[in-house]
Amino acid sequence: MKAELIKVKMADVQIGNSPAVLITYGLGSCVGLTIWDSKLKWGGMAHIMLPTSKGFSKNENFAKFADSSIEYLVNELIKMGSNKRNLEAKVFGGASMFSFESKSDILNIGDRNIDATFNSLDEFGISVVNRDVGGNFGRTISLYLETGVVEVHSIKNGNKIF
Amino acid sequence: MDRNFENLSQIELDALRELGSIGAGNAATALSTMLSKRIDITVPEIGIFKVEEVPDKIGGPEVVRVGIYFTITGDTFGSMLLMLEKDEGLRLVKMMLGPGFKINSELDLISKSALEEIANILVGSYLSAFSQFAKMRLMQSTPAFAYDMCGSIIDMICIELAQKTTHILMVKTDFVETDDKISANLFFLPEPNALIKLIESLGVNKYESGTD
Repeated sequence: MKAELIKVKMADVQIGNSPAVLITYGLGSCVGLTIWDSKLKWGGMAHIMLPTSKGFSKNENFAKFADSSIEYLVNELIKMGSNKRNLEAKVFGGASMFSFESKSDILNIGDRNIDATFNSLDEFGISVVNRDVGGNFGRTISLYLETGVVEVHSIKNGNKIF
Repeated sequence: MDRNFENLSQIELDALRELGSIGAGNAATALSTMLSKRIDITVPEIGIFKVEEVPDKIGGPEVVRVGIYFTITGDTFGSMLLMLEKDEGLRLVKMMLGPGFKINSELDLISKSALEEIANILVGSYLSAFSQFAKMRLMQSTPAFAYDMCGSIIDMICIELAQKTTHILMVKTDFVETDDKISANLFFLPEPNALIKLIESLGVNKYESGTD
């Protein structure tokens, strides 16, 4: 039987149970975050666009931002019965796809997204067990909820396991 | 105040589509002259979407494409992005450099800079027609090249726009060369403030929402 594939769009958060697979396609400067419960074999994935929801309207889609997506994911998993100690985070993406002659803030958005994700995870006391960040290439990531393995696909490096 | 793109009236959308046609027509002529080939263009499609819908609207986030990206500054601002398939890109390079030139089946430095140059000419002539008509001063950045999944190519543009707006307006035109089956998509994504200026310059600044 083929496991259910749950797609996570840009600025989206999804939660699933083993043996489903969570997948998000084509991360560039965006960050793909997975949080997996190693004991209960469930978890979630976020496709994050921006570091912080501060300064944005309350009506904004919370899943655009690192801080609010992480808050949502952690709270939901705890509501389901997860213990924080069993939650393992992995962080992917945050690339700089183009190299420009002129520099501006936006060009470092990948780095800023990565930093914000790590900071926010730290605030919530979630440990980061693996990462594949930066570079100048796109990534598609799949979280296998049965094993917690994340497969990273890129044009540059093919498939890698994290 | 962030003006919502959803409030644009039909007449304003038509004006933008017309402006897109003028730009694309000029771009097609320039490309046609350079390649000595007939280039057709489609009527520009104008769409208003949520920022996070853009990867789906440009063909799907996982589809692999060549993307050549420009930032536009001056009296209006935004991004322009030319996207095409790798093999079509290589055929275009061959067309440009002539039959005597041996093309690698992969994108090497020469192919990349040839494609950047083609994009440069397309975007430059698009914008020059645009700026003459709208009486605006426009400048384009140097081209930035990527060969990757569409989602990863477009997400920086989405991120940039997401900081200012929830919805974006996108003008898409296809350039088609029939003999060698080459088709390239050109996307114009103005920033919200730029769009207001653009519409004002066209003299059709009547919003139906009445929020002004």
